Amino acid sequence: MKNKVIFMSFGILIFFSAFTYAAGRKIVPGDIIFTAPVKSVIFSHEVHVNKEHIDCNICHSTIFDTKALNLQKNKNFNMKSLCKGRYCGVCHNGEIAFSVKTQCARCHIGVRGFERSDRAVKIPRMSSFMPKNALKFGTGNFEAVFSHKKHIGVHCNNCHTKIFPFKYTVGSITMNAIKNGQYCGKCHNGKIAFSAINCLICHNKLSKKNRHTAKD
Amino acid sequence: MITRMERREFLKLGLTITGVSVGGGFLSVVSNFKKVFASTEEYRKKYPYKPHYTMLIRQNRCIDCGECMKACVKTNNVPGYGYRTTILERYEKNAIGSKREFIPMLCMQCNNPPCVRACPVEATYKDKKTGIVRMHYEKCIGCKTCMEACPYDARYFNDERHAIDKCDFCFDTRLSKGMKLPACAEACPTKARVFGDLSNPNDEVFRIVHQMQKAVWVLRPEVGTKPNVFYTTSDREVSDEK
Repeated sequence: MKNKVIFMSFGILIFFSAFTYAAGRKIVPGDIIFTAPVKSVIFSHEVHVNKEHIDCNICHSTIFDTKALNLQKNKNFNMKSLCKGRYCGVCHNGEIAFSVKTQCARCHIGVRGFERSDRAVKIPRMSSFMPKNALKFGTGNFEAVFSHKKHIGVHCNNCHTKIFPFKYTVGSITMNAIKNGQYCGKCHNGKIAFSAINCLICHNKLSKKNRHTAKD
Repeated sequence: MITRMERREFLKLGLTITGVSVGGGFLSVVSNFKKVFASTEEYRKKYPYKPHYTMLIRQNRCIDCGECMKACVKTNNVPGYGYRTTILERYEKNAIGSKREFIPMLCMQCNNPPCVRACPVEATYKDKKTGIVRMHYEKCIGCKTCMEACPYDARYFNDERHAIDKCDFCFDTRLSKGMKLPACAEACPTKARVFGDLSNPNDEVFRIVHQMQKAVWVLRPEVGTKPNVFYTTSDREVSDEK
């Protein structure tokens, strides 16, 4: 009997510790393995996001394109420009993080490392690391919502960070700006997506149906 | 019946004999640099080869890009099942900082080559001029004794040639045709492999091998082969190289 209690309490402890551990971690894209100009260099999202707690918008898309391996098409993506403080060298300069001039084999995993990896860039579904709830802009009944879920067919780098930063900010998003083709209006112009004249699709608290439910 | 005393005497005799035979052999730089520095000038005169081809590997530069192996395969027609040069990998899970280490490997061109001693038909030999351990491919009977004898696993059996093949610092394919560097040293993008002449005091390799500030080592010094491939580390930046 006593054994059973101890066993069960251990089980509960393990379950909860695992749960809290998982809760603190972000789901991130897998390792990026660069193959040019030399085979091969590893970049671990896991280490940078979950160990070092670096926010997405520090690198994306000012330093690195959100599309994987787009960078290695650049001709100047080599050690020389890294040493001069471009690309990885922005942080890996010996001050913020270890210098790119040292510890070569820390990132260079070589031909064998490439063969050992499963080669495909593992990118989890957008749904696993985008905000789960709809983003809300404005207040009261004029509140507008943006749902990532409904935009799931659009690639991240269509909006981030050319139009919107990764971090949630309301900023100067106004209907006038949208009608002038800024922010949402870049796509919602009636050509690419429905026009911004259709107020009730986003400002859904104004719709009749919702007003009813609010009263009830 | 041998008494204990007699056995001891016998062992002593054995030791003196082997000691004499090793001491009588030709001298070269060994992993034990104290000996070198005990008589530097004297030692330099005793390099038996001119040029004394050697390679210095700056190990921390190696990134296992495989360019050296690609160049070697192309130059020397190495088949897929064998290698003349390779890169070993070590992964230390609990190391601080970099957890990976790459060690380029090739024939050490030993001054005391066990393969030459093992060969029953004298198909492999130490070149008297350059010190490179070379092959008489037509003499080789393919018994693979040398492969067993080599402590560095630097030989493989070439089916097409029906002979053992090994690294010869590209002597047949490049050096004898007037080129200065073996294919691997030329291909290396980080200049991890420095090829040089140990009989020339102005050579970069000579200058690094004969200094004491930075560690220089050879692989498996305990087998007593006296390799001509040295390993060291480099603090200079890759971008500073010409």
